[in-house]
Amino acid sequence: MRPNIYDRNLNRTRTAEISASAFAFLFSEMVQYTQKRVSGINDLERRHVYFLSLSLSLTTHRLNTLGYRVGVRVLELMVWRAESSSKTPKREIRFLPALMSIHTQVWRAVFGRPADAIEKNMIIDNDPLLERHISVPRDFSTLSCSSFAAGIVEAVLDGLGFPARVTAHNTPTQQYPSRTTILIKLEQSVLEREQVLK
Amino acid sequence: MAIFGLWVVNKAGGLVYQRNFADGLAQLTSNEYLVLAGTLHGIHAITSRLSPIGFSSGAQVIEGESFKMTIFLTVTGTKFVLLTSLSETAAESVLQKIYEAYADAVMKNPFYTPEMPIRSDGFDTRIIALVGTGQ
Repeated sequence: MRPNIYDRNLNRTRTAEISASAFAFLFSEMVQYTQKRVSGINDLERRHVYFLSLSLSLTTHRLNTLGYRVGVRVLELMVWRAESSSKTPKREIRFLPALMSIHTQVWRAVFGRPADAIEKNMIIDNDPLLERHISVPRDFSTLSCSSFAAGIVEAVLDGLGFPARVTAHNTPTQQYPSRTTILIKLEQSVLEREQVLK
Repeated sequence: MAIFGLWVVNKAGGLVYQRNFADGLAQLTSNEYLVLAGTLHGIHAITSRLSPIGFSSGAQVIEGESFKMTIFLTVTGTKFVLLTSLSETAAESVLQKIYEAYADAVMKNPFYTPEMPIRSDGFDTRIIALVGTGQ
């Protein structure tokens, strides 16, 4: 009798890896899925520029939502695994340590390596795994497929008690043409709480 | 030994990618490349019926006086055509690497519509890195 997958120990696949190619195809389909047009938009089609910007913001929002659903599960799994392996598991109540743990632990858990840089309210990835094979056409240059990663970060922050708006931006350099910045805009209540805790 | 050019032809015979590298062949207009690719597609189909012993693939190498074409046909009907000097020995291995670059930078790109012309910075970068100047 084959054991139920839900009864398996959660630590069993802790260091498991999946095929990057398989995931790339899946993610490509997800991006295409989020690009599907909203019905009833015919009047707007005549004004191409307006339609394009609407379509891009829809895609961004949908990718963010898909990432959010992943982030909820990533946080839960990470916290469960941290608690079961540590004698004194700690919960971060200040933003900077929480940001550090996202930069290091979440990135390692999801992408296999820590992010490249961290700033006051940003996480920078010089070569996002998600975008490895994606070439965004010039028309869509404001679209970052890392909105998916931004969604993951937003869910982790929400779960840790730091509600925020998280967005992804293409910030290429000569050396790193796919460089992406994940920008975190914390809610006013969190900013006020941080002030009190200072 | 030189690599003159690369053509990628879709399964309907339409040219979806064309790039020149080393000098050595006549410069053609984009329309002329389209016509030649379509012609090659037809010839390739005919050659697959020419074998006297039954089943055969289409032509794999076509040699001229100053150049040769090496044709790699994928299982899905896409053709990768490398135009090189007669003495070039690496044509087949270069085509394999080009196919890998295609599988990555084109097939996994959500903004690419299959069978349509390839306009991908990622693919261009990889092809240029692979072939260089073609010398």
